[in-house]
Amino acid sequence: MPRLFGLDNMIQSKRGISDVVATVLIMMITIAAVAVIAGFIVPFVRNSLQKSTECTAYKSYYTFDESFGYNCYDENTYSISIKASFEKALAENVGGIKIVFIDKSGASKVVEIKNDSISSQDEGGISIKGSPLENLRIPGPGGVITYAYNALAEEQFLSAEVYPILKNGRICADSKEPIELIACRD
Amino acid sequence: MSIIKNMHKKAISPVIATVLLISLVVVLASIIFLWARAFIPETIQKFDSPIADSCASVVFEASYSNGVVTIQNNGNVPIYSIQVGIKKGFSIEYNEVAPATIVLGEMERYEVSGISAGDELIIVPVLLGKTSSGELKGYACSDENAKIIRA
Repeated sequence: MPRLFGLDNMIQSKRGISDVVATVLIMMITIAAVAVIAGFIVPFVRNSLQKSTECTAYKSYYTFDESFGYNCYDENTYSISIKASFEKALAENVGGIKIVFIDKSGASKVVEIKNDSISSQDEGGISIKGSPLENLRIPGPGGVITYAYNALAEEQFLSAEVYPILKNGRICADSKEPIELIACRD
Repeated sequence: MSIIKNMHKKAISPVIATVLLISLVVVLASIIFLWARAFIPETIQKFDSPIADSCASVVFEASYSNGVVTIQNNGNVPIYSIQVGIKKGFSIEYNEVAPATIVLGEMERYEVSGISAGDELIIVPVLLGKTSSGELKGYACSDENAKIIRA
């Protein structure tokens, strides 16, 4: 029994930190927490938000142009005219074009075009229509370029889609506005 | 005994709890607003209506001679600048010229490089509008409002 009383006395006589020290500690912890949030979490959230919406502006950046009367096939050559938007600020972040050809079974063939990549008139190759020896390039703001894709013998495509490839490697494939490919007129 | 003991425990005050809740809601609402704002396309206004409406009212004449494109504004909408598209083969490439606002009845000459005799030129008027944030921004009208001339 006396031992118990001794323990009680010991516990009751222990002194905690003072109110002032406790308040200062809490304030310091709060400031440290705010600093961590400001320095790490805020840029992280901002970066994540930007990444999740960066393709929104590019939804209709590339469209199929009809002014040359293409977007058609002649035997195994598919001629596709692609027009870029006039938005110069958007053009600065575009590094390439992805053309998706779709056949009747729904299977697709992807062709990527980047500035200064080598053109080819071989089977499965793509070149700029009218300038087959030039290196490939993507249309500048407002511009139109017609590409000629030489399909493999067994390939027969019904439609095509076009998407921008951003310089950071991201493909903005949010919009699905396919164009039906028809036989070219003479 | 323990229930009575727990009843004496002090939680945070209702005022602090309310402030915490409001802060949380404000932070969450800000994050959602910043995220959702990116889905709303930036609109450019001119004369208190979408700038595309003003493009339909643009009236101008265009001509070409010796590397110079001449624009005469015959309408009430000021033309801020032009984009000159050069049709070569199966491609069109646009050249940007230095902005020089042309008002009704005025004429402006723009030097454009890379034009050969016989090239088809597509002249697209560029209007100056105001974004929702109050910033002035050039807007290239669509092909429907363009003029096609031959060099």
